[in-house]
Amino acid sequence: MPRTTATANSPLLQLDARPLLEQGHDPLPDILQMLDRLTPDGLLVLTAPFCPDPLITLLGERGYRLNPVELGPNHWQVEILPSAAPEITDYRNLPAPEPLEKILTEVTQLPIDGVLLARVPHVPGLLFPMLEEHKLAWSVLEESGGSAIIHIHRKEDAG
Amino acid sequence: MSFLAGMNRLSLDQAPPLEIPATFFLTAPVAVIAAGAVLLWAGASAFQSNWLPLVLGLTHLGTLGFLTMVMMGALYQIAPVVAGAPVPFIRLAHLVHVLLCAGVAGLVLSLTGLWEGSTFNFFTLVAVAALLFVVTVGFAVARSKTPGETVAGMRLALFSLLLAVLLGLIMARGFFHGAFPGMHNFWIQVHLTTALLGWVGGLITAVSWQVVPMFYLTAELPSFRKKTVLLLTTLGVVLPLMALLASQAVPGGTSGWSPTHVAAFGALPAVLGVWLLHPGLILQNLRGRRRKRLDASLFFWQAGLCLAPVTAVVAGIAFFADDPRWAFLFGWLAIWGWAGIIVHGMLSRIVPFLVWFHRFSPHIGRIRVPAMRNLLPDSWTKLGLGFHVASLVLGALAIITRDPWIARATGVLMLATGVNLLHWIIYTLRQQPDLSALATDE
Repeated sequence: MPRTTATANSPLLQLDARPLLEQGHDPLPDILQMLDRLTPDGLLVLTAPFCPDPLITLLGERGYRLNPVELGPNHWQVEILPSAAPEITDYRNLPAPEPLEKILTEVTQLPIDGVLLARVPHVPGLLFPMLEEHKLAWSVLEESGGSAIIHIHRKEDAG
Repeated sequence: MSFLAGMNRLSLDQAPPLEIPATFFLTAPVAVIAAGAVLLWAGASAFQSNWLPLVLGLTHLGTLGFLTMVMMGALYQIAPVVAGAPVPFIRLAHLVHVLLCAGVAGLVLSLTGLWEGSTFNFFTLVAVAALLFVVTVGFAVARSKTPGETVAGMRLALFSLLLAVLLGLIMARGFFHGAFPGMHNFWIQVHLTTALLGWVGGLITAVSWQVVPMFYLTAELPSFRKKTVLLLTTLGVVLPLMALLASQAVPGGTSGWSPTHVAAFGALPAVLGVWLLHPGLILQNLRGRRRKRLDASLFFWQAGLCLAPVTAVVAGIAFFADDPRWAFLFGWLAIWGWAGIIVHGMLSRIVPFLVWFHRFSPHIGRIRVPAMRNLLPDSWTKLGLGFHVASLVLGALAIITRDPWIARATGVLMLATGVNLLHWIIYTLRQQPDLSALATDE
């Protein structure tokens, strides 16, 4: 299960629907509430005990892109991306420091207000001060198994 | 802006400058070259008796000149990253380096009879270097709030280094001033355990938890397995030390057991943790790695880890056997085999990374920056592994046969290993980004 690290108005949010479902609650209001808090280029990671097909249909009709992945028995993860969010680039199969190299190369080409979403094998502690040197805003969501999703946003010209 | 709560942050200002680890890494191959030259000169007489000053010199050339030199340089870089705190008075690292170099060089020259200096004074230089190192790096590691086995393992390694050096200094004083504090074998046993299993083993295991998943894309090992290795290593360092302290407080208080046996049995948990359990866990983990691309540094890890259980078996035989060749074989396999190969392989990862990180990464997006793996040709690293393994095999053969020509051929191969290593470290460290395009734009 992803570690809770994101806060309100974060471009990275997560919701584990399993406890809600166990208590007999419909998680849809919580999901919609979180999507309202999500930035237009962000990502909501939803954890569920099954593939939520009706939700996929509903949110798909509202313009969201949804990527469901089965992580194990009764364990699904659904990435919910608003229409303006970029695709998540997967660098999990690259050994250190190649994810760092790739991300730094990509973010220097980001236009102002551009966003990069990347999945990396580990939380790249060395990357963050380098992103700040490039005047890039970042947030990270650590996943189970040690991998992480990083959201990088160029808000101004690095000069 | 960050939304990651509670994460250790490393400011680039806190990272030590490249020149600090680089000076240590540049010096380490010189020790290998020197050891090769000594073997070439001495031939099989280097394997005649454990008590020869020449053997003592060769051993410390390996443990201090090569292993400790690299491990200190690496810790100056890794400790702040892992511990999340800078090493205070980082410029003192230059003094540590000078003292260690002077101490090791003086030791070897005096023990090989090439210089009439006081051997004890050179041991003292090494001890001062180690003390300065442990105090400064230990300050960063001790203050770390990062939980985990890597930081705990680093603490154990630093504690063991301090102990090994203090024991070594006391023994050196005894040897050279005729007042040895107790039974030679007993003290050497405890010194060996703290140095090889506590300092070298503690650091290799601690660093492996961090770098193996990062470099080879393996799964993270469950925490309890890492804790088991750490606990066994700690026990194996502490128990012999307690036996030593007890023998000083109550002479003859080991209930009829030989104190050397007590120390050896006390070290068994560390032998189990470092030379049997750790290699088993890491080799199994490497088999399941996601990245299947073959990498020269991976071969070093595999070769070194495969040698660990062999080292443990030979250590057991050497302890009970009367033939001194077993003791030589054990030392050879532990220093130049298990630890030497892993440390050599780690250099091939650390040096290009540091050069890329310090020199090239700040220019990404401004100029064309090479990928890290392009800074060092893989073929040079593989050649280094070939020389290293060939010298290891030939050295083992020289110890068994006591053939002077095989011993000299081992020296030649060690020279080749050291020269190759020094060559590619210099090559990698000399790489600079081409800033001419940037200047033209401005």
